[in-house]
Amino acid sequence: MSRQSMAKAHQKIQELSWEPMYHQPVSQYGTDYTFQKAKKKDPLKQVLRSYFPMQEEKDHRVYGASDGAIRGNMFRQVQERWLEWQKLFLSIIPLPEISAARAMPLLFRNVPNPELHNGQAIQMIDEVRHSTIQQNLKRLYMQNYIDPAGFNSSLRDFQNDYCGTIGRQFAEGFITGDAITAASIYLTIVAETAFTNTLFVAMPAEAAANGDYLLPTVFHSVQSDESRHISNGYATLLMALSDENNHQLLERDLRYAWWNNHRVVDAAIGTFIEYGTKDRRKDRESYAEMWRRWIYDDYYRSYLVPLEKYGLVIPHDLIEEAWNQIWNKGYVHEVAQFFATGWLANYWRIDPMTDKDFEWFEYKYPGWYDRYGKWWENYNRLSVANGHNPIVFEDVDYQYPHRCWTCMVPCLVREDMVMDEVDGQVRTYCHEACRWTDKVAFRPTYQGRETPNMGQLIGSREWETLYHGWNWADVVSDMGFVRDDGNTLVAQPHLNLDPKKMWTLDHLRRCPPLASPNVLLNEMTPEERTAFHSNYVRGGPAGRYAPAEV
Amino acid sequence: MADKHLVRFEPVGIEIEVEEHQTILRAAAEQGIMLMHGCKEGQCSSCKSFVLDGDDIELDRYSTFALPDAERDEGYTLLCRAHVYEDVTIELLNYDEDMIRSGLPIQQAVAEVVANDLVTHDMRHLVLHLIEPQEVTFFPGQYMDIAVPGTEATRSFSMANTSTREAGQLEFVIKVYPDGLFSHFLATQLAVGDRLDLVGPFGVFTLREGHDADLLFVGGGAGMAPILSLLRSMAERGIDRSATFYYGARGSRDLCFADELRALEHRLPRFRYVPALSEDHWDGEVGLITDVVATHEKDLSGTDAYVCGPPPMVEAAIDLLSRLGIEKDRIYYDKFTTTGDPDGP
Repeated sequence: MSRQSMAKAHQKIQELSWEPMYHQPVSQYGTDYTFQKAKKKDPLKQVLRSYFPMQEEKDHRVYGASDGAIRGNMFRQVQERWLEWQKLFLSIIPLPEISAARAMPLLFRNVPNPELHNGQAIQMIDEVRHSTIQQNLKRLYMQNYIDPAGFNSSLRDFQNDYCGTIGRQFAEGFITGDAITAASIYLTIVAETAFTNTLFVAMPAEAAANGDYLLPTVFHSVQSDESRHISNGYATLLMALSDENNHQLLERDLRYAWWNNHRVVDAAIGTFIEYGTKDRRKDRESYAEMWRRWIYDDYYRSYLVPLEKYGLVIPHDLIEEAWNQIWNKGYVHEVAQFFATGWLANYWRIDPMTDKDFEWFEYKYPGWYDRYGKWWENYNRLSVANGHNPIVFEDVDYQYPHRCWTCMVPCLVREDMVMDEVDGQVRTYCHEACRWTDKVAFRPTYQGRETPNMGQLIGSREWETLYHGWNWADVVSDMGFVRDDGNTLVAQPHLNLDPKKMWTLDHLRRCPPLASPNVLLNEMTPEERTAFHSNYVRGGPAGRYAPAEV
Repeated sequence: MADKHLVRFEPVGIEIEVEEHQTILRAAAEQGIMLMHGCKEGQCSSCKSFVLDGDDIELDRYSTFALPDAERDEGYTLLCRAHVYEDVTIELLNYDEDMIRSGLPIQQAVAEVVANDLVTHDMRHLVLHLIEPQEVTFFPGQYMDIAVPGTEATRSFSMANTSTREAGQLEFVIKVYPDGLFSHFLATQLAVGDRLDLVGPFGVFTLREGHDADLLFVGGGAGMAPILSLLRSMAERGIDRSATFYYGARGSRDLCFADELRALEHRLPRFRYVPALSEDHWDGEVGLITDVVATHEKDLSGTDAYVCGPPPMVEAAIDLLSRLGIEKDRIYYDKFTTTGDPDGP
């Protein structure tokens, strides 16, 4: 049988002109990239005729699944360990989505190719839809899950939280700085093409394994829009590539975007998948295995390496280094341990690991127990208040880490921490690539070239510094992570809802005040700082203090 | 029943063979065809395409969000999940014409010199036989980087042959410059039996086959090599599109492969070879090659042009061809072979 060509229908869209003819539009977001040469065709033949019916059907199915979940009381059967982490994840994810929607108009203005604006406009509509159905999912969890605290205030929560701010930094990366850096390279080329597979394909599989079939429905609905976004990114990248003046900027941005996505997405999704699951089947792929398959074996080889044929230098070193971090340096485990160390600063409950978890970790990550086992045993021992303080104050051989100014995840792989004085302040970075991002890439000049559109990494980026010297009870009250009784914490280091087992503001009031390592570092003399740094980088793994020098 | 079937991709006009146990996406990747994809698990719909012809397609497990039943009924399919049981024609909905042929693996290779002969007074025909690996697959028009022995440097040269016919062999046409790092070495030292290190293939100077547009090739100097590769490939595959090859040289002593090109005119009835000399008088065309094109061609709208040669010739040709009505994005030239150092082809 034969059918009418979709490409021909798509061709007709080009008759609609997006370029203003009678007005000079204002330039709100600029770019240092130039687009002078060959225009690219819109690679994805998507027409609205089929777009809206398709999205309508997808939305209907999400609503249908929601009804089924309510009727089947799914919310009481799902693993609590899993759903608690969703308080963090679902508080963050609508912001990157809506930021991605906001990112599209940046491209309208800067990529002089009306053909691509059709795809960008559709992506903008996609992203708004994603944000909406994700927030609706969160609302259903709040209404039906046994412990709504943390779901009920999450839009406010994640902007104060010591994990959530990392997500906010990520989302802001889509819409700030150079428009092409942000909306094209960081968002569509790296975040969407490389990292959404772990986010939107692996997460739903894990949710389903933990008894949650509503999240997979919502996220499959989201992920099935991804094709457009990958195409949008690629078309813009290829247009940029055709002008050799852009190569220097592209190489800079691929380094930044790759590394920052690795730092943030692997930290968050790695933790959710490895530490948020009860599914410990040996044949379940670990995060490291999925990363290798999707990101290294496929994305790197299929999408990045071919760019070399255009004379672009690909950041091979940082790709190898990201894998090195995940496989040899325990990046995901270090992050999960950090999130659990500061459980009291969160708005969800973190379940201790059991022997079954230990066995799985040791099987998937040989050597895991020697590094992290002891600490998680201590976490378990200290989880119910019994005259002691939360684990962060107890002697469990864990040196509280410094924040990385750039990615805002702390400097957890101790040996990689670097210090530098930037903008009159001593800053710590989790890795040389993050130092480079702040000090070299996000600056008004780059390698002698004017880059006025880059913007800078500003703001109160070190969560601890916001509350330096505060009593912990005041910190948690200020963030609003207190339950309705006005005293019990939303966060708990266990899943027991028995009031007698739960931590309260009273427990925190007796703890030492919060001390920001970054503030203390800036108060040191240069000699003290150097000595401190050389000691810090000898610490770890698992946050251990450096052994005494002999 | 055969377990291999032909899958034709439109509108790019690429055909591949797909075994029944493979997905279309996988088979394409193995044959160097880079199709847009994401999750490879039937969920992201990046590889969603439209079946123009053919019905016998089975899909592995996929998300019906990525491919709702109504869409499947309409003719959409997911290439990462699709197995074909008959010959089919697929319309790609998501592709980039330049990138689609970028999927061939870049290989490090060692090859042995089989021939190193002069074909003009200053151009050499270098033929290499691959040792390790024994074959390198490349698309006609692509190039390899050859390491200059005893230095850290590499130089890029386009193949003149096709790998479908001779995957174990690489043929180059290289102009000798007295100061050229590689070409000087080639002219004075490199002997049959010597070995060279190579990396490749690279480049997107490949034939766009999605339509039947007329073809115009403009070449000069060692720009002969990739164009010869494209023409040889057309002859091998019987692609009889209307095609003209304008080749510019200074004198008759600069012409090469004339016999083969004349023979191609017989094998491809709609192909014409038009050499022109800028400094000699002869019974053929005389003048700068761009002037000769301007004399012969009045309206080239709708034509695809491929340009390869010294940078000034390429730049002049692009200007001229645009004036004669060829759309800018239909003028293909390989910047590595035209704007590299003077050693370039």
